Amino acid sequence: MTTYNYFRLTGSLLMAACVTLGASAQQAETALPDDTAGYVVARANTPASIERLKLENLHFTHSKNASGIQLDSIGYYSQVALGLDREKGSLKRVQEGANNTAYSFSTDGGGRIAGLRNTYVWGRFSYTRENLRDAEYNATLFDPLRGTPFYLADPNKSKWINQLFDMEVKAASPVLWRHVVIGVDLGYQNGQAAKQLDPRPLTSLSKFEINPGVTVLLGSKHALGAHYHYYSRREDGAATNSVTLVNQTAYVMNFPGFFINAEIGSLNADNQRIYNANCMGVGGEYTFRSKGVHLLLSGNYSQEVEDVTDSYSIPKMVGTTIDERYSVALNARFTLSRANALLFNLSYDHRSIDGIQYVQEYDNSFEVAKWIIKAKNIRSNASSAYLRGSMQYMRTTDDGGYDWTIGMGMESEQLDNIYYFPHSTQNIDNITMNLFAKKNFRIGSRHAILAGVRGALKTNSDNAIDYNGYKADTECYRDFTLRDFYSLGTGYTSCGGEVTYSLSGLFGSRGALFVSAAADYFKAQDHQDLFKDRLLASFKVGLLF
Amino acid sequence: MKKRTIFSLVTLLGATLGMSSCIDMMESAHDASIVDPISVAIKVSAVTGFVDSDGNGEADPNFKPAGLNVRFVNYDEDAIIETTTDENGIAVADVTPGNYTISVTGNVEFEGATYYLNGSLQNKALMHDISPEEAAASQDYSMSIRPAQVGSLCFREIFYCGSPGYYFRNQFYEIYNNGDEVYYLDHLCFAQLHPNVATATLPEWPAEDGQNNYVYGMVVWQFPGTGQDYPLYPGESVIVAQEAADHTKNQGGTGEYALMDNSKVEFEAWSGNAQRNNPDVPNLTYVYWSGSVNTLQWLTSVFGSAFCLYQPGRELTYEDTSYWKLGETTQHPVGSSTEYARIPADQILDGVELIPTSTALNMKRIPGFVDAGAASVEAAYVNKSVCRKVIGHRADGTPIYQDTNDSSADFEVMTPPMHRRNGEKQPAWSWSLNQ
Repeated sequence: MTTYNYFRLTGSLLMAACVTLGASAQQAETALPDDTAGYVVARANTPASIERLKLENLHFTHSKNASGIQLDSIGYYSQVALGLDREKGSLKRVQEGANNTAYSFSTDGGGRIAGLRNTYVWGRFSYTRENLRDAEYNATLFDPLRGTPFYLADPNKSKWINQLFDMEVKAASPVLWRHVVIGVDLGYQNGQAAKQLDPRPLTSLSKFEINPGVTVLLGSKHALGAHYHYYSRREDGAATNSVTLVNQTAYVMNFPGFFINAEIGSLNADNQRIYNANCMGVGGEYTFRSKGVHLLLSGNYSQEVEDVTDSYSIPKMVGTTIDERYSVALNARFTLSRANALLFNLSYDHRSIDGIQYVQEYDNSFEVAKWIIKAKNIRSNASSAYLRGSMQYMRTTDDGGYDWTIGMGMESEQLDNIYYFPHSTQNIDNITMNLFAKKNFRIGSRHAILAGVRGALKTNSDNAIDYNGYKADTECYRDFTLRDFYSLGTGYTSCGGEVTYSLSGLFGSRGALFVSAAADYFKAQDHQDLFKDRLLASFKVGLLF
Repeated sequence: MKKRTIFSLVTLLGATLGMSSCIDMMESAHDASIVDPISVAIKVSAVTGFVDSDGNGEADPNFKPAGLNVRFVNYDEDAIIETTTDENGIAVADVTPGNYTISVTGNVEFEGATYYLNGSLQNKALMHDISPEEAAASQDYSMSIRPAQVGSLCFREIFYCGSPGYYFRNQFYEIYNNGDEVYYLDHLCFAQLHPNVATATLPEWPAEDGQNNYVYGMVVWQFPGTGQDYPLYPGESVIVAQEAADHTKNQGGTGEYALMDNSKVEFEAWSGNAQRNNPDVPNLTYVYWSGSVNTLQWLTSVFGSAFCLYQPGRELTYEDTSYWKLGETTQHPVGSSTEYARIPADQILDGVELIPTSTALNMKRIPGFVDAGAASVEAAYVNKSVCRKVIGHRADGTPIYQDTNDSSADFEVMTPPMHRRNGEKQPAWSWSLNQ
C-alpha cells in the first residue's frame, strides 16, 4: 500500500511538472513594477538566457516561499537534458566514491498560465543514477554526509549504485484582493542505494516536502512574505552478506571516533537502520523593488528531529538527532542600465546537530516485550557555520541573455564537533575564494558558444583535534575519523572551464538545442600524502523550449 | 458533496494526527539534556562460604581484594574504563550513565597457592553517582567473588560451530593437563551448562541457592574408572567427540573447510543412536540429562554453549534417583519445572563460556569465577575452533597454555579445527595406541 501511494504521489507530481511544459508562453507580468525597466524586449530561451533568468529572479532562486515568484520578472521557459558526470581523484571526503559516474535525465520549466489568471506554475523532475566506486565506511546510508552520526560503517572499499527520483513543483496564485499572493512549493524524492560488496544494504529513501507561503504587497515597492516549512523523510536499509560463510567487520557509528566494533553475519542481527525524520520551520522575506533595484532580505529557521531505530519488529532506539538550522541572506540585483546588471549575494547559514543516545533495557515480560528507555542524553554536537558573499557583473543583452559576465565569491567555513564525554573536539576553519568569467560568442543569428573559465583557492586557517575516546589505536579511527578530519581541513587550488554550444531558433524561434562540457580540476595543497587531486567533468545535451 | 466533506474531514484529521505525532517526536527529543559523567564505586570482597541470593557472604580475610583489575564495559558504546581496587576492595571510575558489565580479574597467593579472584556483574544500570560508602553499604554495588585455585586440567580446544553445509556431527572437545602433576580422570564430569544458547535474559534460580554457589548442567557426562585407571600426565590430552567417526568420508568441503576425522578420539559422547555408534571408541556415560535424553545425538549449540569440568569424587549414574534429588543435586529455575544438575562451585576445575560473537559479552551466562570472559568463533558452520593460546613449552616440548579463567583473553580462533595441534601427547591408555 505504501508503495502504491508512492507511485500515486510520484505520478501526481510528475504530471504537475509536465503541466508547465505545455503552458503557453506568457509575457512577464509581475505584481510589482518591472525592475528590469523593460530592457528584455523578447527573450529567447538559450543557455545564457536561462542562466540569467535564474540568477536575476531572486525569489525563484533564493526563496522557498513560492508566492514571492510573482514579484519576479520571470518568464516562461522549459528545458530537458541528458547528463553524464564523472568524478575522480583522492581529494575527497572518505565516504565519497573515488571514481564516480552519474547519468541523469532532468527537466524543469514553468511560466504564468493565462487560463488561470496568470497563476505561476513551475516544475522540476530529475532522475539520476550514480555509480560510486571505492566508497568507504558506509553500510547504511544513501548519502552518508547528510549529517546523521548514527549509521553502520564497514572498512571495505565498495561500489554503490544509487538512483534518485527528485521532483518539485512551485505554484503562486495571481495577486488576490490586490495585495496577497499565495504560493506553495512541493517536493518529493524517492531513491534507492545498493552497495555491491558485503556487507551490502539495499537502502530506500523517500522525502516529501511542503512549503506553503504568502506574500503581502505593501504599496508598489515593498512586500513582506512568510512561509512554513515541513518535510518528512524516511530511509531504511539492512546490510546482509551474500557470502554467508564470511562475517564482515562493521562499526556501529555514534559519532566520528565513537563507535562499537561489530560484525555483520549470520549470528549478528544488528544490521538494520531505520530513519524517520520530521522537520518544521518558518521563513520570512522582505522585498524591495524599484526601477533598477530588487532586494530580497530573507531569514529561515528549521528544526529536524530524526529517530533512528534498528528493527521494525522490536525497535531499539539507536539514536536521535536534533538538527537545527537558521540562515539569513541578502540578495540584490541592480539593473544599472540597459546592458549592465550587478548581482550581489550575502548569506550566513548555521547548522547544529545534537546527537542523543539512549540507555535501554529489554523488558521480556509477555505483556511488554520491548525495549524500555531508561535515560537519554545529548552526547554529541556537530555544528557548521558558513558566511558567503558573491558579486557578479553581467553585460546583458536585449534578448534576455548576456554578452559576458565576471564574478567573484568568498566563503568562510567553520566546523565544530564535540563529543561531551569522554570530552573530544574537532575544529576546522576554512576560507575559499573564487573567480569566474564567461563570454557568449555568437556566430551568426542562430549559433552561439558560451565559454567560461573559473578558479578557486581554499585555505585552511585553523584546525585542531583533541580525541580522548577509546578507539585511538583502531583502523576505523585512524583510517576514517582522522582521514576525514584531514580532508575537511585540506586546502586546494582549482581551475576549470565550460563550453556550451547552442543552436537557437528552433520550435517557433524560442527554442534551442544545446551541448555542453565542463571540467574542474582540484589540486590539494595540504596533506598531500593522503590527498592528491580531484577531477570533475560533466557533459550535457538538451533542448530548451 | 457529502463525500467531499467526509474526505476533507478525514484529510484534516489525518493531517492533525500526523502533525501531532511529529510534535510529540520533537518534544520527546527535547527532553534530553547534555550528558554529565557520573562517579561510581564498586566494592569487591572475596568469599569462600555460602553467598545468599542478595549477594551477602562473609568476606574471607585470607584473600585481600586489593590491586585487582576492574573493568567497566559499556557494550552499547564499546567503552572500557579500567581501574583497580584499593586496600578495602573499592574501585572508583568516572563513566557515562548506561548499562555496564563490571568484571574483576586478578589473583592472590594463599598458603603457597595461586587463586584467581575473577568475577563479573552483567548489565548493571549505572545511572547516578555512587560513593565508596554507598558501595560498601549496598549489595547492589558489591561483588562477592569466590577464589578459584589455578587448576591443571583445562579445555584446550573446542570445535562447536560445525562445518559448511550445516554439518554439526564432527564437534569435539579436547581436555588437557596444563599443570605439572598427574591428574586422574576417573569420575571426572564434563557438563554442558544451562542456558544452552547465550542470552542476556538469565534464568532466576531459587533464593536458597544464593549467588555464584552453583552452576547448572543440562547434560553431564562422566569419565569411567574407579580411582586411578585413567591418569592424564602433564602435556597429555584426551578428546571427546560428539560422534567418533571419520567425517572426512562424508561429502564436505576441502582445505580449511574439510570435515574432521574423529574416529581415533579417546571417547565418544554417545547418547543411544545405534546407527551412529563407533564400537571401537569407548563411550562416555551420560549421568544427567535435563528433560528427556536426546538419543539421536548430543548436539551442543553451534552458536556456542558453556561447559565445565568438575569432580564429584564418586561414580554417578543417570538412573540413580537416590543421588539426583531436587534442591540437593538438581535444581529448577523459578517459574519452571525443568530440572538441571546443581554443580557446587568448589567442585569445578575449569569452565569455558562460548558466545555467538565476541561483541555479545552482555549475553554471558555463567559466573565470573568459572570464566570471567567468553570465547567465540563469531559465526556458525564455518569450520573454526577456539584454542587456548600457547605461552610456553615444557622440557619435553609439550605446550603450556594460558589459563587465567578469562576465555576472552585465553582463547584464539583457529582454522581449521585440529586434534593435538601443538604436540600434545596421547595418554598411554588411549585405545587407539593399543589396538
